[in-house]
Amino acid sequence: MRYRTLPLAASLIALFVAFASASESFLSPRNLSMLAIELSITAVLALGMLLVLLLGLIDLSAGSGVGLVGGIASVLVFRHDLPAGLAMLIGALTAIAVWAAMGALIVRQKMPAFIITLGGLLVFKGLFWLVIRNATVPVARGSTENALSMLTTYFLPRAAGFTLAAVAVTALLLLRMRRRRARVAHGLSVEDRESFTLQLIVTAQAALLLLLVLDRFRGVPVSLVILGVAAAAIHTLTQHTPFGRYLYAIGDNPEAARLSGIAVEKTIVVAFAMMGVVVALTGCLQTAYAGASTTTVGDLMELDAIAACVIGGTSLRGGRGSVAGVLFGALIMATLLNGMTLLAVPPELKLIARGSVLVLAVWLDVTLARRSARS
Amino acid sequence: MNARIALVAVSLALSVLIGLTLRGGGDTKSAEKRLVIGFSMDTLKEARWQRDRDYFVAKAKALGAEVLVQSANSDDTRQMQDVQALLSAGVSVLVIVPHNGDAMKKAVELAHEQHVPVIAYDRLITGTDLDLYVSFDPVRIGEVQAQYLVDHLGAQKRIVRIHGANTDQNAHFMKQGQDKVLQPLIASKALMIVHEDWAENWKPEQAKKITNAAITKHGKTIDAVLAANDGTAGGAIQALTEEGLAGKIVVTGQDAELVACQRIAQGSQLMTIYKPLEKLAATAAELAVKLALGRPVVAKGSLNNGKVDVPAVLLDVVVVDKDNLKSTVVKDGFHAEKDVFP
Amino acid sequence: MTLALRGIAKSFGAVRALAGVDFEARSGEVHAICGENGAGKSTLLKILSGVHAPDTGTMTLDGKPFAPRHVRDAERAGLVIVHQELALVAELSVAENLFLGRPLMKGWFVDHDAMALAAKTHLAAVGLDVDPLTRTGDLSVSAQQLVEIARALAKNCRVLLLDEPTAALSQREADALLARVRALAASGVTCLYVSHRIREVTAIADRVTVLRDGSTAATFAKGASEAEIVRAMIGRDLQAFYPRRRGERGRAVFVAGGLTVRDQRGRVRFADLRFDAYAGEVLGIYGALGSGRSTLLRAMHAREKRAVLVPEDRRREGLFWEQDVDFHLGVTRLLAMNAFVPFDNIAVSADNARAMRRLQIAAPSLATPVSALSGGNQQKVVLGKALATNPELVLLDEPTRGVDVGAKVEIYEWMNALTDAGRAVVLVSSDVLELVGMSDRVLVLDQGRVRAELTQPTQDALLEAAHAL
Repeated sequence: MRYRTLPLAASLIALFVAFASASESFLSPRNLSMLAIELSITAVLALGMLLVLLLGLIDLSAGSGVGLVGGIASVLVFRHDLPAGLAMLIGALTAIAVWAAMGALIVRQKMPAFIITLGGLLVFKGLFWLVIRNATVPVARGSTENALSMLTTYFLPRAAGFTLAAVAVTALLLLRMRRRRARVAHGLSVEDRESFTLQLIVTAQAALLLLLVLDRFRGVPVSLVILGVAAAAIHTLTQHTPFGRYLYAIGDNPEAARLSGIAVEKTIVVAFAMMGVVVALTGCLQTAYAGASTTTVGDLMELDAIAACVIGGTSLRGGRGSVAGVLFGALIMATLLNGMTLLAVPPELKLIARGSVLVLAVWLDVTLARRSARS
Repeated sequence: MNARIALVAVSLALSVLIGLTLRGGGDTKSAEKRLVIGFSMDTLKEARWQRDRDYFVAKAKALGAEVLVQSANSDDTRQMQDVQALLSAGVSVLVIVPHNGDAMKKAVELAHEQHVPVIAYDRLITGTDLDLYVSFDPVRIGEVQAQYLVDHLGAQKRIVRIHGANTDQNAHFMKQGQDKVLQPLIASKALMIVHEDWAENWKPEQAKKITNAAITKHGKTIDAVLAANDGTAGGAIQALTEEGLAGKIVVTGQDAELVACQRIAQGSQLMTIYKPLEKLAATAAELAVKLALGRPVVAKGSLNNGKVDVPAVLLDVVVVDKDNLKSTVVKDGFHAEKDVFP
Repeated sequence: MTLALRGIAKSFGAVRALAGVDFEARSGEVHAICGENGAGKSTLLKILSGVHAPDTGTMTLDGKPFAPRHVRDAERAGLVIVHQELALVAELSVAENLFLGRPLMKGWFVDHDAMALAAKTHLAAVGLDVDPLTRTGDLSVSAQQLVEIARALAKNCRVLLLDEPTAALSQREADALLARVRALAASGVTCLYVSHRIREVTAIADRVTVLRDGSTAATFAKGASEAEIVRAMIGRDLQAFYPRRRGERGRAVFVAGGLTVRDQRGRVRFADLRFDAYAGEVLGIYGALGSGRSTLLRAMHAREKRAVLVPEDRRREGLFWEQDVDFHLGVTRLLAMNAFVPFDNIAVSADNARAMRRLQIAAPSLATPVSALSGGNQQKVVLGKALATNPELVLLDEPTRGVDVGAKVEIYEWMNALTDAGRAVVLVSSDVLELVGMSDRVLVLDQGRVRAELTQPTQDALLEAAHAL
């Protein structure tokens, strides 16, 4: 994984330097807070996409699904006056059922995920428009606020933000120290003490910097907390549970996985159901961000998510990818979009830039992988 | 590079950044006070909107203001990001051409949180306490279109209506204006609406599909297509051309796009509506500067947007047909004569 | 054409596949190349056909330097290889396969008539009488083999390399093919014949070159005895090479009392099979390629919960190519855990580190990706993955294919250790010496039945049983 980290970090720094020198407001706390919110939305969907891509499958319907779930939730809130929490829960349950059904179709009928989800893309788009009746459905009635509308507008109070950050960072550091001690106790290799300590210091510093910047605007946005929880959950799932290891095994070599006794079909269905949860979460976030459910919510988001995964080193053939990489990739995509929007780059050029970055990232990845394989 | 050295370097860099952030360096000192207008546009894909932008920017420059232009490519979420970016960039006033007037409600609220006034340009933003609305009077446009059509058709005519985007408040106002003229005639059976539909996103191909559907259902017995703008008129005429009906069935339009003027000159389109865009853009730029400087603004009209009566500056429009092409669009320099009459 | 090789060596990373190969194949002779699994045969073929370039050494054709950079280069020079796995497109006609990649054209279109006509001549040259428009998949395996050879001839081939051409054939078909090869040689084509079927080799070849551990061990003229060739191949006497220790036979672990086996398309491959596999015993299974021996192992694996299968094709069915050693050794042990509860992966890794030492897997660390290991170490990883669950029945499908000699002996020792621990082992191998050397009992499969059961397997007895098919 090493050979991939450096170019990613370098391109991210280059992006920041370029945008900061082109526009003085790029590094303003307000813009960085906005970037954090935009990142949370892109990254959450990309994390779900990671589960599917690890299996060597793909989900093209995610963007339409985002629109649909957001539409269901806002219609329930706005037209039927349901509490926002319940509305989101109904949206999520629908998504889980639908995605599990798609997973079942893929394994039972042995149809390619590409086709099933391409069908899903169109069907969900149509259902979405039916649900909102082609109109604009706000996420809250009048000028009130609710759990749905606050997903991207609520910022944690100062004390709560600082406490949460302190707890999260301390927990992370303690966990890493405990794991290192356990590895030593089991006689497994560990990196040297200095590097390890430096890593911990850098982690704490980065968290502190982020916190200070966010605090200069309105504090920690709740959507960033959601991203943090989602990332921790999916990291634990993929790296520390048997289920997660099966994802890698199946994506790498389904035949070998089957012969090793892994329940391939069940794993795929469950992974798709999890993708349903992620789609529902993103649907609520993105709709809250737009302030209302309108016909274009979610358009092309599946491609952004796939791009973030691929830039972060996820293999479309399955079996390779990590949460850290996906977060990096999502950050690059979100920064690119945020910076270009700030510079008022015309949309045509934005599309061209995003596409080029995607192709460039994959080319770089392939080239570096080949070089490291040769050496 | 040694990983340890790299980590030390990163740690030092982070320390410097933390220090800068604590001191509040970097962002607060916003040099000299400049007047910046944020112009968030739905799209720049059509020539019409590019003209709006050019006139607007030119006028604002002349008044000493800088303009940041954003275009959202007909996507509400993108437009929301655009508005966020403009606010981050510290604009003093926001002018929005909403893709969807309902969806931009949140943008207005965000701007107001930053104490930035908002002007809706050409299309209304609904459900919020918008500061100002500058547009051509859409109800009036609908009236003019319908009246012209009625005046140029005999009695007992069969009409297809193609409305604009269902999501666009203006399209509804136009329909309202058209209805004002058409309803009495429909009631007296002097006129028949054989088919009507909304063209999603004002798309010409959608208009073509609607026209095709009308022809499929009613054959060639149609006398007129009341199309909401030149784009949809173009789609309708494409369908008519393929049926060999172009020029035989009258088609209305709006915007005085170059191709529409050519079609009028050559006879496949009956009329269009010329909206002196320069006047609209210049008025909006002027009003934006006034709002930004906190000077009083006079708005004679007002339009209810579902929440408040929004102060509105509504400009009048001009009908363009074969007879006055030269004395209007050509004379104004909106299109060159050699382009209109090739 | 005369093909001459001098000092050909090739390494992949730290793995030395060829250490110095010398031989010369003359015009019009059948020259056999023999060697154990892992002796370097497949690397040599890849160098000859231009897939790999040798690190050192020279090759000449009729005295002119021969250094193909890809397969087409080699074919242009007149050297064509016919692989063991047939490279025919089943859905295309015989004629289309003969001209695959360079169809005869009329203007912008494929000229099917001209191809069919030309195909007839090429098919006649190998004595195959079929309609060139037949769908290739409808032909028998031996006929497809001949189509491959005809295709090589259609490419104007002067040096023909045949890699294990008889592995999938019955004895009668094999005899017919060998006669064809002799006739081709008589017509002036240089035939290189790769096989580890010693009897076949002594029957057909004018000369035999034996490879061992990546080098030329010896070249024999016609008339050398089988024993001489075998000794050159394994470097010692047969008994010393296969360290099988027979133990006490325990209870029956797998009982096939009228087993019916269907393949993936649902066709019956075996009906009413009756045999047992016992604890403490290695049961060998012999059958030609395509006799369904792998299908049978899979069926046994599917029926018996306590069974593990080490598949024939490591790369396609055994390994997770992107993953490291740690992943492989740990993944099967997760099956016993709750899938959604985080497990102690440090403890699992610690166990894996111990397993890696015990299995003598030569890898820099647990985090080494398996794609960077040698064939022998990869095979040990696959075995380690299978054995981590402590199975009762171990099904081995060609466990030593592409494995160097040292690793091979280690794998044989594991088989001993498994039977000592009271496990049942089933061994499928196309290497007759290995099968005879390591099995306590051998079943001979043919056409969906057990044709013979050898309780005291010897090379002669096995070949006799196979010959009788």
